Amino acid sequence: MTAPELPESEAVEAAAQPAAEQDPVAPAAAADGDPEVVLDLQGLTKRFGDTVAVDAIDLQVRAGSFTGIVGPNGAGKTTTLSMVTGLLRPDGGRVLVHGIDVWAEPDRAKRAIGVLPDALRLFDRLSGAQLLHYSGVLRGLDAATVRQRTADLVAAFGLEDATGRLVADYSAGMTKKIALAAAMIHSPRLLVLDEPFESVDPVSAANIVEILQRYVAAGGTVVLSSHGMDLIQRVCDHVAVIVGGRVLAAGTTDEVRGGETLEERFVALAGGRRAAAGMEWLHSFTE
Amino acid sequence: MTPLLVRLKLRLLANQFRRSPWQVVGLVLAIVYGGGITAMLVAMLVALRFAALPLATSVVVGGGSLAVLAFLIVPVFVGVDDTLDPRRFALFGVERTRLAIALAVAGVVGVPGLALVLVAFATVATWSRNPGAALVALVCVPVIVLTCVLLSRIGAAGAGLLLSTRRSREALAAVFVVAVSLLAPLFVLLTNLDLGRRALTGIGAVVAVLGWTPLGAAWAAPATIAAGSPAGVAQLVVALATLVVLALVWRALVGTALVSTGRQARPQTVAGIGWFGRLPATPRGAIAARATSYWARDVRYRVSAISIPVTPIVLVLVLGLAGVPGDRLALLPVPVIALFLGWATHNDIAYDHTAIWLHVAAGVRGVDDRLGRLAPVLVVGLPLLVIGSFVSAALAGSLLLAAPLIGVSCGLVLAGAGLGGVSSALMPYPVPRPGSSPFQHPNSTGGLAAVVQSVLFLLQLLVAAPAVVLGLLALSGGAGYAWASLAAGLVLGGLVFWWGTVAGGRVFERRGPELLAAALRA
Repeated sequence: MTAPELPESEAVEAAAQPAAEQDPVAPAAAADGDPEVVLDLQGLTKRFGDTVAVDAIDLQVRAGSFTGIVGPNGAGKTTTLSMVTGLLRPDGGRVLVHGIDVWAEPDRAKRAIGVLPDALRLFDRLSGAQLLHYSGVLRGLDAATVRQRTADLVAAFGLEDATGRLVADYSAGMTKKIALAAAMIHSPRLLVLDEPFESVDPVSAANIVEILQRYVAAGGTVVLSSHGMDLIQRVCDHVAVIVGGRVLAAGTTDEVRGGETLEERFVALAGGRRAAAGMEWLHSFTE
Repeated sequence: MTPLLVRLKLRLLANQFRRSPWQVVGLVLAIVYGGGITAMLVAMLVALRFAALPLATSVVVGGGSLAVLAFLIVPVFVGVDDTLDPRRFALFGVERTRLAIALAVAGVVGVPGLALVLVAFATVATWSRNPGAALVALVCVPVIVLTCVLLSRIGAAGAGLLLSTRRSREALAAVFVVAVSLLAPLFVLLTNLDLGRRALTGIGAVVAVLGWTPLGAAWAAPATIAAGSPAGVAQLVVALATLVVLALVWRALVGTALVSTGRQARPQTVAGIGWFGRLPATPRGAIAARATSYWARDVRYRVSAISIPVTPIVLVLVLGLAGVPGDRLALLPVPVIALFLGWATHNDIAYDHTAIWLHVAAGVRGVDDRLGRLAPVLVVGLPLLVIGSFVSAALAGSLLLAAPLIGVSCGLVLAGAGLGGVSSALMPYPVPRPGSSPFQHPNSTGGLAAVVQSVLFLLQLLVAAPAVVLGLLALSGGAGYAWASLAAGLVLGGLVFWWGTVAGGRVFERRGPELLAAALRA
């Protein structure tokens, strides 16, 4: 189980994808042998009242990459990912998926994206099997395809015992897994996953990582946010650090961490550790 | 502890004004309404100072007992704000007696508590005709206030402990619907019986009994003293004993709540994929299957599904008792069911809460969303209404009347569905969340809900008005009117439905992210 480093085969994949050629705006990076840019954020901005949640973010994600987005709480990760997936209308800037503007041509763009949002409900009065079927059919799959993929996904995520139960009765980790399965069922080119490993047990997490790595090896692209620095360092080939609504660092994981661990680098970028002085009262205990 | 919780409650109340304009408008309306009612009650109680003693006694004790009962019942069914649910304080390690006292006192803070204090004080004015009675009334003010607050806290916490599982809430919802529907005809029956000369003596007898029960004792004590009977002191003792018992129950409930986690429900299982396998595997078919499953499975829909047919039955019972002839009554239920059935669709998207993201992320076509959601209502509802129209017409003694009945009821359902198709995408307002009690309305509902509900109701009636008018003309004979009513209902309803589906679909596609944002705020 190794991180895929297959630039050449990816370049072949990218060349076979026509979308980038059709749209003159898409940065045609294929010239220097890099794979196509699958996700391109240009000056993406979102304000809530006086607060600027996302401040003119530029970010490019290439086909076949496994990109981790990290940032402290409230940095704008979820806001950014929501704008990428067409769930939150930006105040400025553009999102291009395979050269298609998500906010100008949402129908075409959304077909290429699989979404796992954080902290949004599922239709949880459906059973697991019903939810997968619903997600697949809404994405335009036919009944036979949905049935076969549901069986595969249920086996891959280890949900065999839970397909008949209502999602409302699932544990947090199982809910995450069924939502992740639902995000993949239409085999999108781009998977945007917000906190996919939150409350998932280590065995299931390893399992999910393996599924995602095989997907990436086949030319798919994953963008995920997480607070697990070790996991991101181990799994992701690219990292973007978002703090205060801006991208402070982006590039391959090795470039960003520059010899340190990702966690050390991240803490430094995010404003450093706060000195734990002035907390001496915590060391004398209440009776 | 007590001042701390009172400050917390005040802060929570003040923060209500820091919400969106619509919610503030709703809150102000609620306060004006509550304030107006309180002012009326206070004025009435002061005016009763100069009324005859039996009348004053009947009003104060009867109304007061009802108010006490309401303080117990309303929290159980409506689920008042649970900010002061004792379970939320379980982790702070506060001694339970102190916590119980603090929670009870903080419970007075709020619009109902304040109104109650004012009204209770006004009774001192009512009994100021007699110094002894006024003194007892003054003593009774805190007794009344604390009794009511403790009852509401016990009602809310008790419901929270016993009804925390989905099943028990669903059972409660069914009981509530049936109870309400039985109460209405009973009420009519009682008022009819009492409307004669016996009314006053009847009420007097009831009040005399109420005065010795925990519900009315605190209200009755000053009245009895004013009548010159020392039995008022005994009633005061009953009231105080009630308060002590309630305090002990409350303390015990707080103690239990602090160490319990609520009951766990047994998980429900579904074999296969249910409706999804029976309906076409297209977005429209899948949305229809999902909507059908939810009507059958989600208690919030189930309450609608029960109350829509029950409401007209109650209406017919009430009117029948009031003496409306049967052959006319037979024509009533079907259009009323149609009215509510069509109207029930007007806020459908809000029931999904944030799960609507899936439709937005998948780029579902608006028309598919609109028609899919309406499928259970129309596919089940329309044939039943047609059958019901024939039954009603047969009962009314003229099969020809089935034509206007079908026209009116189809017109109402189609108009409601069409108008709802636009409004649910344009102006969703918050509803009970998935999994919560159907009566637990979000406190952010505000004024928008009332405006949307009433405007749509009127528009729906307006679209069906021609069919209704022609139908009424058909009652006095004339086959032409009957067929014209059928045509008017089907054509106008059909046009509004078609327009609503197309326009609502476009609005849905355009406003997808805004619908999700509205759900996140709800």
